[in-house]
Amino acid sequence: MKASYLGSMGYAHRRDFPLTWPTPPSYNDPAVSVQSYQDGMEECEFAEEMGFEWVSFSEHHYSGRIATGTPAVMAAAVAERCKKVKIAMLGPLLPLNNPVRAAEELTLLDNITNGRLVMGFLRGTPNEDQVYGVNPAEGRGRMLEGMDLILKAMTEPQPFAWEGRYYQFRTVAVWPRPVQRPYPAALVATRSDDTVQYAAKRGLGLGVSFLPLDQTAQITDKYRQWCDDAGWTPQPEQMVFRGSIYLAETDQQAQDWFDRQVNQGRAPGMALRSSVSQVIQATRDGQEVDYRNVFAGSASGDIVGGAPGLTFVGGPDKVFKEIKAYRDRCGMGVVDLFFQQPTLTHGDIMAELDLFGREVLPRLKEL
Amino acid sequence: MATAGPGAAPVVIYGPAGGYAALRDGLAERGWRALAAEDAGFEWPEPCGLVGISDGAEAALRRALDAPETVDVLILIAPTAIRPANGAIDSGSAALESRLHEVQCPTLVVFGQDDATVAPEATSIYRERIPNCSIAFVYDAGHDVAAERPEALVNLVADYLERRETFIVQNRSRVINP
Repeated sequence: MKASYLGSMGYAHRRDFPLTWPTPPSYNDPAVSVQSYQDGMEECEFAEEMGFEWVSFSEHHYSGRIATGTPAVMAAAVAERCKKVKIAMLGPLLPLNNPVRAAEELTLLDNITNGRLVMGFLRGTPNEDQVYGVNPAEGRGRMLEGMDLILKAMTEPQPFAWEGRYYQFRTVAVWPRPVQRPYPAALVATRSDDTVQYAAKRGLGLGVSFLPLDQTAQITDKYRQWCDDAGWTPQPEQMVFRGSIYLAETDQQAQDWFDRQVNQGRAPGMALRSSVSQVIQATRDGQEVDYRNVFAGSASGDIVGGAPGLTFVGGPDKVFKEIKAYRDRCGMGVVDLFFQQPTLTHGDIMAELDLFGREVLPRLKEL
Repeated sequence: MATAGPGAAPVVIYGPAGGYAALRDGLAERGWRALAAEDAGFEWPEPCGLVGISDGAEAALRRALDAPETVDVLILIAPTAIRPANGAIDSGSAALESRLHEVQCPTLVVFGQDDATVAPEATSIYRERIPNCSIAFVYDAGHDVAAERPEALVNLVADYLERRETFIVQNRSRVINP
C-alpha cells in the first residue's frame, strides 16, 4: 500500500481563523504567508524523504486551512523540489473550472514531471460552488462533461470543436500532449452512484474522502462490481482514500490531544451559515428552494457543516491498523493523508512525518 | 443561388430515411429550408449546402467531389464514408479516402463523442486530407447524433452553414449588466 502526503500548505496561524467560511483576507499577513508556503514545501520534501510515494494537491478556495486555490501552481513548485514522488492533482474542481484550461495545466504538469502526474477529478465541497458562481444544480453535469472533455482534449490528435451541454469550444488543440499515453493515471473522487458508475464505465480509478470505513466500503463495493460488469479490475493504485490523521507516540497521547481540540472547539472543518448550506444542498439535489422557509429557520445566523472527526488518530500501531482496514475491506491501494490539523505547527507536522515514516510507512509498504 | 444565409437556397440532406427529421425541423426554426436529396432531383439548388448523415455521407462526399460546382459547403455527420480498421483504411473506402484532398468547399465533420460505429482515427483522416476541414464532437451522443442531441446538432450545423470556417469565432454576447 502506498502513502500520499496532502500538500495543503496551511497558513501557519490558521488556529486563529473564525469557524466560518470564507476566511476574510484580512487574516493574511504576507510574511506569515510566505513562510507558510516554504514550510509546506519543506514538509512535502520530507515526506518524500521518509518514503511517501505521492504528494497530492487539492483545490480549495478562500481559506488558509488548505491554501491552494490554484493547485497546479503549487504542484509545479513542489515538483521541482520533489523529483521522485508522483504528483497527484486531487484535484481540479471541474464544475468551477474551464475544462480546457484544466487539461492544459494537467498536460503541462505531466511534461515538467516527465510523466509523474496522477489526476483526480472532483466536484468540490458545497461552499466551493460559490467561488466562481456555479449553480449547484449544474455541478454534477458540469463535472461529467468536464471529465469527458479533458480526456478528449488529451487524446485527440487534431484540433476539434466541442458542442456540449455546458461547454461550447469551437477550437480545442491542447498543447503539450501528455507524456503518459493515452493520458495520465486518472481517478474520480465521488460519493454519488452515477459518478461512481461513470468511473467504472470509463476505466477510471476511484477516490473517496473522509468517510468512515463502512460508508467507504459501500461505495467501493459498488465500484468494484460495476468495474467487473464493465470487464475490468481496478489496480490498487486506482483506489485512493483520503483521510485526516493525527499520529502520536502513543494512543493515549493522541487521544489527549484530540480531546483538547474538541474541548477548545477547535475541531477541523469549514462552516457555512446554515441558510447558505441548506440552499446549496437543496439546489444540488434539484429541489425547488423556498427562501422564506430557509431564512425563517436561520435568523440566528447559526453555522453548520464543520467539525468532522479525524479519520486516523492514535499511536503508530493503531493508525497502521486503521489504514490497513481501508485496504482490506475497501481495496484501497493508496492512502492520501491530511496532516495539517489547525492547531499544529510546522514543527509538529515534521515530527509526525518522521514518526509516520519510521513506524507506519514501512508496514504499509509490505501490504 | 447561394446559401449565404437562412432563407436562401435549401440545404440538401443525404441520410437514412427519417433519420434527419430532427435536423430538418431544427434548421427550419433557424430559417433554413432543408430537403431530402431524393426530393431535390427536380429542383437541385446550385450551389447549395450539402449534409450527409451516416451512410448518406458517402453520397454527399461523392457529389462534392464529382460536381464541386453544385456544393458550396459540406457537412458530414457521423460519416461512415471512410472506415479505418486496425490502422488501415478498408478497401471499400480507400479510393474515396485518396480523393479527399480534392474537396474544394469548406467542410465540417461531426461525430458523436461516443460513436462506436466508426473508428476514432477517421476524424484525423478527414481533418488532414480535406483542405478546409473542421472537426466537431457532440457531447453525450453516439452515432445517431440527430436523434440524441438534436439541439446541439442544429446549433452546430446552422452556425457552420451561416459562417463556414469562421464558426469558431465566438459571437454571442456574454455581457451581464450592460
